[in-house]
Amino acid sequence: MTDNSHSRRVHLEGARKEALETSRSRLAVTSVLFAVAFAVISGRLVELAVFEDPQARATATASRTVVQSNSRADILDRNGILLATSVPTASVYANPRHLLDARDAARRIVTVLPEVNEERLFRQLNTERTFVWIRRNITPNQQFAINALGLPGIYFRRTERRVYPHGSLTSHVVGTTDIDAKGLTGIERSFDGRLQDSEQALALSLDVRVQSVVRRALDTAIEKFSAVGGAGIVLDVTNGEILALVSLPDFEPHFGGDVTAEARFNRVTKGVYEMGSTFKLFTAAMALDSKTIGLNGGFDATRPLRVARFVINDYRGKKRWLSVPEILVHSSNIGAAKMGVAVGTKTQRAYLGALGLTRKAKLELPEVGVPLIPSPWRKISTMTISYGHGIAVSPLQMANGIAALVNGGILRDATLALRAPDAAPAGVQVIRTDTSIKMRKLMRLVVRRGTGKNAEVEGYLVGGKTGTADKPVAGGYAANRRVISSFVGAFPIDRPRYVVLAMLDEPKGTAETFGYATGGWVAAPVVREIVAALGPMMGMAPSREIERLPRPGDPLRIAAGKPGQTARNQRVRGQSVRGPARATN
Amino acid sequence: MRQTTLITLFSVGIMTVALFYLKHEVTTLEEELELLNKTIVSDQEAIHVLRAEWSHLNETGRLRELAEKYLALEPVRPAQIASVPIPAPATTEEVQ
Repeated sequence: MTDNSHSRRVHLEGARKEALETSRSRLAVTSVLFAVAFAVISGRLVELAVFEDPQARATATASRTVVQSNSRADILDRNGILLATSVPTASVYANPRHLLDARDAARRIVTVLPEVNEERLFRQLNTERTFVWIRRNITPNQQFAINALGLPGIYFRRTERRVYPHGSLTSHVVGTTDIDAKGLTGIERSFDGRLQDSEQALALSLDVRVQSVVRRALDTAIEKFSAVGGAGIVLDVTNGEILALVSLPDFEPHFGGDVTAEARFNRVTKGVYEMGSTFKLFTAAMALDSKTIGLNGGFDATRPLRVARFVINDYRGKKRWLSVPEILVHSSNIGAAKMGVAVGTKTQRAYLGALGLTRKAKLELPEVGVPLIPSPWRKISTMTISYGHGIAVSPLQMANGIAALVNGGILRDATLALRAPDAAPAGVQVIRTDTSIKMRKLMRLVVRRGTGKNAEVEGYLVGGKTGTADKPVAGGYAANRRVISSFVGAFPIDRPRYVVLAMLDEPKGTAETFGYATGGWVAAPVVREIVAALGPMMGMAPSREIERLPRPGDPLRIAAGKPGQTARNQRVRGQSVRGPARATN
Repeated sequence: MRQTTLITLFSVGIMTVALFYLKHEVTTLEEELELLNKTIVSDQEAIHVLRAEWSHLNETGRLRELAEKYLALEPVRPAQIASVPIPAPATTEEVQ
């Protein structure tokens, strides 16, 4: 080819010609190699410049993304108010091997951090270890001062500190974390993984405004009646969202260690109590729903009920036949017990089970109590359970059960997680809608004419039921009438939206309440206060309708007489102080 | 041949200078980016702390105390809420 044509034109002889031929062929090989290399490079250039490569683009931008600084996600209330967040702080640590003089270092560090024990610090520093925490979460001033000491071997590490801007207000719900920002209690514990993995803030169903109203109302009542504690809950009956959950006494979540077990205890979810007369609502609901009895029906409450060694009695009882509405309005234990027997043990058990009162409640908190149910469930259990003794449930279960009674009969699990609007779970129909409507009327009647009068709010129709239960002590009931007083209400009762429960632990009567510490005197005013604040806050228009009294002949008509507090019942005068048959109000 | 060499040398010169400027520019931009990222992180941190502080300052108990101290206002009572009947819009005849 070319070589041949060249060799034709130029004629060289011998070794010279051979050398030239060799160099020519080498040159050719090299140029081919270079040509290929350049072709590859050009091809790659064209590929990069002309054709879009999404992967290359991704790598180019990914490394530039700014990393969010806080690792543990925030917790918000339903309106986006910050309930828990992590703020960056500095923590000081030492590498003892880098220290020149452990004794001197300890002495000088203590001048800046007086809360550190010098002797202990010296022992920690005087080791062969390479890492010793001196103090976690120090202030910027302390950090500056330690830096100024100029000690070798003392270093800082960026750490995070969990901060609860609302302090004790939500301490039982939000919970606490340990020093390494791991969830210990409450939402911090139950959503620990979620809070650690995602930067996305966690929104709760809680509303700090409502929470604050409930806490204040309860706190005032606790002080006034020298109660040892209290519980309050506000529940949206349409979707099971909890707007407020208050357990008092509460605690400051920032100081982890030195909180009493009493303050840590969540009375709303973990505590189970014999709720007393509020349970009569369940008894009435199951009696009406199972068609055991109608609103016109009733029971004779003339004489105390004697079963085995127990006596069930009414305090200042009417001593006559009482209709179903009258049994609730006057809070008759005899009537409720007879109603329970008429319903039957099996049916009672089935209804209480369906209302979620015999099993552990489902809630997004680790602190959920298991209800105490009788075993075996005898006839006497059926009787005492009818008026709320011999079964212990948490206030949360109580409120959720009542929500199902008034919302048309649908039980939904209560939740602390914010649900999307109109995303209410279907729930389970536990009683018929018409029974639910009857229950609303009965609950309204209790507030209008019965023991719940102190829960009456101008503008909002409140329905509910009082409860005063003797506190069980080891082997029986407290002799000096230590009680759990509660009120559970729903409003507006003609179209219920919220269930409000207030409970006081061991309230003592005052002169203002004529010495009474019953649910109607101590807990109903708390609910009144909550409803009066909650209604306008939620933009609910007050109702101006004038309620008509039921006409004669209407089963809801309550015979005139001394209404209201006269119907207060007393505990059973039993032959024995032991046993579950102490009565309620 | 000489022409080709000249053109090549010339383009090599141009490219060298251009590449140098480009590299310099990239380095400057990268430094700027790093600085900006640092500022963003510290700003984010500051916002975060401020948000916590804001929430703390808006603590309901504190707000209530302040409101009681400085405002002559109190929470709305149900009795204070009323609905005003909205008058029906005037018809054209009435306007005339």
